[in-house]
Amino acid sequence: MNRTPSQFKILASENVADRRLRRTFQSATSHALGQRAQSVQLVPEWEDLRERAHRIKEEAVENLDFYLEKLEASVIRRGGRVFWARDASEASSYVVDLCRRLQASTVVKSKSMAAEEIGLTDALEAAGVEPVETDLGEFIIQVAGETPSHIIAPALHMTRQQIGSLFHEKFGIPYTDVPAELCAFARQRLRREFLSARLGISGVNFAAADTGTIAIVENEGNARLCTSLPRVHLAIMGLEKVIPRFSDLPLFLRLLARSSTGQRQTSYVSMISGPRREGEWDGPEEFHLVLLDNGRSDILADPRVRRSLYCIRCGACLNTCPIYQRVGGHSYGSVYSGPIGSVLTPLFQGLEVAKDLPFASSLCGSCSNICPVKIDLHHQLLWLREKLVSGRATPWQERLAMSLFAAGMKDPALYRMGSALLRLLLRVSGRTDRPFTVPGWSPTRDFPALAATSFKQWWEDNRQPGEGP
Amino acid sequence: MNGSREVVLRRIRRALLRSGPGHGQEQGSPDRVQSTPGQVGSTRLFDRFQEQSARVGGEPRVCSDIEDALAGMQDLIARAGYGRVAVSDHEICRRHRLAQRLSELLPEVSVWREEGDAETQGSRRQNSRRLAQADLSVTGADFLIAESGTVLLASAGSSRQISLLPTAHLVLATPDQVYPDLGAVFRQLGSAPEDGLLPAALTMITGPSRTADIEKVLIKGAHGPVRQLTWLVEEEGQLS
Amino acid sequence: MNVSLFIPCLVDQFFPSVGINLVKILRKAGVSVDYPRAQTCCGQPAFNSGYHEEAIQLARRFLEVFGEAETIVSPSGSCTSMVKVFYPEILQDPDLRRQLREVTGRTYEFSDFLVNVMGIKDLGATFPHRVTYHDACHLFRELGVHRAPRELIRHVRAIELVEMENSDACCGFGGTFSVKFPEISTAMAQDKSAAILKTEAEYVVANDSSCLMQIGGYLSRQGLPIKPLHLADLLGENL
Repeated sequence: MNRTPSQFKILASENVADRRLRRTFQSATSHALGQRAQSVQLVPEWEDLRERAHRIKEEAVENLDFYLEKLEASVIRRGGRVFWARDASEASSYVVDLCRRLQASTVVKSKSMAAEEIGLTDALEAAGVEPVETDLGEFIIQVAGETPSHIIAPALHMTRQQIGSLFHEKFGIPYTDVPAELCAFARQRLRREFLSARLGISGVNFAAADTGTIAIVENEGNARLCTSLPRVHLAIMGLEKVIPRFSDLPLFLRLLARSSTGQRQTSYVSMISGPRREGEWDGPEEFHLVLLDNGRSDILADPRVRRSLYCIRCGACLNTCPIYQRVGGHSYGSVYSGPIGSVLTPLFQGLEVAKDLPFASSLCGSCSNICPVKIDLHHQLLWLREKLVSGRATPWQERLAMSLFAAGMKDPALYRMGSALLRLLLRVSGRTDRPFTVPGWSPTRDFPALAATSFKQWWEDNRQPGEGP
Repeated sequence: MNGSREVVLRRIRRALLRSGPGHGQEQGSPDRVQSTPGQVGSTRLFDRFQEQSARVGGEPRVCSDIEDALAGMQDLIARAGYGRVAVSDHEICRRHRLAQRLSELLPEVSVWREEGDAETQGSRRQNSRRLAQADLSVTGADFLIAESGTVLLASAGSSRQISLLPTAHLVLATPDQVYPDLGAVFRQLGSAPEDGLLPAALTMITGPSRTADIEKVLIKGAHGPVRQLTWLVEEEGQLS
Repeated sequence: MNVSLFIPCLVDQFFPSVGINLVKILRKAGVSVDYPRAQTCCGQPAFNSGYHEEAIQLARRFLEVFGEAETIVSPSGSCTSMVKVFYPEILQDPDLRRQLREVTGRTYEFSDFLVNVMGIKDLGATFPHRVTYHDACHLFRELGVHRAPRELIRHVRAIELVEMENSDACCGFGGTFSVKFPEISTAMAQDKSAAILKTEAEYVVANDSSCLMQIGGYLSRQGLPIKPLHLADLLGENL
């Protein structure tokens, strides 16, 4: 199913009408928000942590070249290799070449938004390598031929019955819709893959420049398996995942776990510095780190939206967004959904392809309010709207209406005249107290009638002496 | 292989309106997470650890000494019907000859000490396959974090897999290993981690493996251990 | 003290009673009131749609009209936040920015003004009804005002205030969002209405006419008897 961001309007109106889907997303997001609120409440200095994380991300992003070079040097010092990829195809080719060298017919993969973004699994398949998704949710949607509908819960849109039928059909196991049994099946099946794969691919949550350490946060243990069993470990990260110092990690780990799932700490955090060292019991012989640009340096070039690069992919803005809650992740037609998706997708894929996304927000501000690194998400959306307008990507009718609006509003005489004229017209046509019919509005909501007397008029007639002007 | 290193760096510098390399903050790092006194208060750290670990489905308990712990393990293995037990080469396990003592106590159970020539790929693979068959593993710990009920293991003391592949993982910890929070552990890890002291893998473990990917239903043992037990052996030192 | 009224265009044209009652309230609070007649619109519709040039023109106008005002009070959290939060983002001219800083420091949403500036919580109104309060997004999150309106409601005689679930969840208006994405906007109004219904209140009170237009428009289309009510109307009508 190939969805694109240009289809947002259609997909969103379909999905909002799907009652089951809407219930699924609303209950899942409100559950996640509840968990988050509980755990955040226990941290009295939460606001201070957010502020500090924002400043550290700012430091990293404003000096991105410096910290990336430092990260590179640290990884190399620890015996790892670093590959700089300017775009998706360069990154994918590097992974494919590595598979060829290792003669790897299958690779095990844990969750990575960057890999998702560049379509790595498609590239591997095209090269005859079988990529095995090992995160339970990712595994399910891979088997189903689907795409993730939530940053941290990719199969959120599927019911247990759907998953049960899927496993029954694809793997020939007896039908069950008991989640624990479905999970046990996946565990057993994937164990075989872990024990034989030569290459494990993971994402990166944070990369500390001073030590070359990458941190991977998870609950299932599949990322641990991917990074410790196969002979080679390859991690892929967007450029913006670099943080200045190893000692910054505790702060970010705290913010991420609580914001995404409401846990104090996820079940597992792996902090990996290079390949296995001499004398250690196990671990990969080779460690590769792919630094992915793929449009990030362009985002960096616009200071107004640069802060979107601070994102730590916690998913809290999705959960709190009243639009995401009702239309679900697939409506966005991109791997990044919700408010952060509405910012990143147009920036990654081009404003013209995703021109509805910046407008898919009531600007309620709850995304900015919840963001653990204080990205002013709804302000970023407003900037994108402005970019669309200044790039003349909005309809001419709207542009005309807006300049008329501004002209009318700028001139109080015009405003007064317009207001009087409108009332006169309504009186002449005998529609004074009938509500307007407004396209888009009126099918579901009543629109108010124009007041017989405006406030301005009332003031003229009623102001008390001495009150002016 | 550097890929498009220069291209990407040039793009970044252009984006930041800079002609040459940038500078980061080298000193005065203001960002250590401080431990939050008052959260820990006067309650004993391990009490807090126990509370938090239990909250996430871990199984913490206090053992008075190693004999108590051994008796507990005997009981655990018998109750759960575990037939294969792997013991790590951590200092605490070695010092008490745990593998040997367990196999003496439980002759019907296959108990082995994780060892072998870690330097060859084949022996490591064999170790993996064996661990994947284990019902229980027993390891030491490097740090315990009270605030979140977390065990921190470095890849230096044992394999990474021994705490990951078996069905259940039991950690034997000592009182001096308990720290109030992650920030305190990081301070302990060294003010200058660049000196190469950092092992290739540091793993934080908080409760058993879990997933909620199917309809948000919580399931333990997604890929890692179904049970995660942390036993504090009191006699090994005084509580900090 | 003299207060200059800053009346949103929506109130001026559709809900003048809100302005009229605000005048009553302010007089009752003992301040003199004026209404700079040259005012029109803060420019938010243009700004929110991405038309910053047009919005900047109206921001400049706002400064011309209100530049000399001692205190500026508005019955809208949304328009107030346009001035206080969003003007600073679009006005680049240093002179204008300096002027803006002074003006925004004297600009208040009316409940914030009454409670936090005037120290008035009890205006002497009586309203023997069960009401629930909706936190308008801009008032709540941009301006951080949520206690003041509740203080004012609690001090009304015979009133019963029942909190709804997620009172700070957006009603779905969002300006042009409401017509660009009518299905999503309506779904949001539907959920908001469900939360309101659960409280068994007779009135849903808010401090922004735009939210009330959205919530009220949906409620009346559904034939539901709950009435939307601006806090200024609640207080002013029942003095």
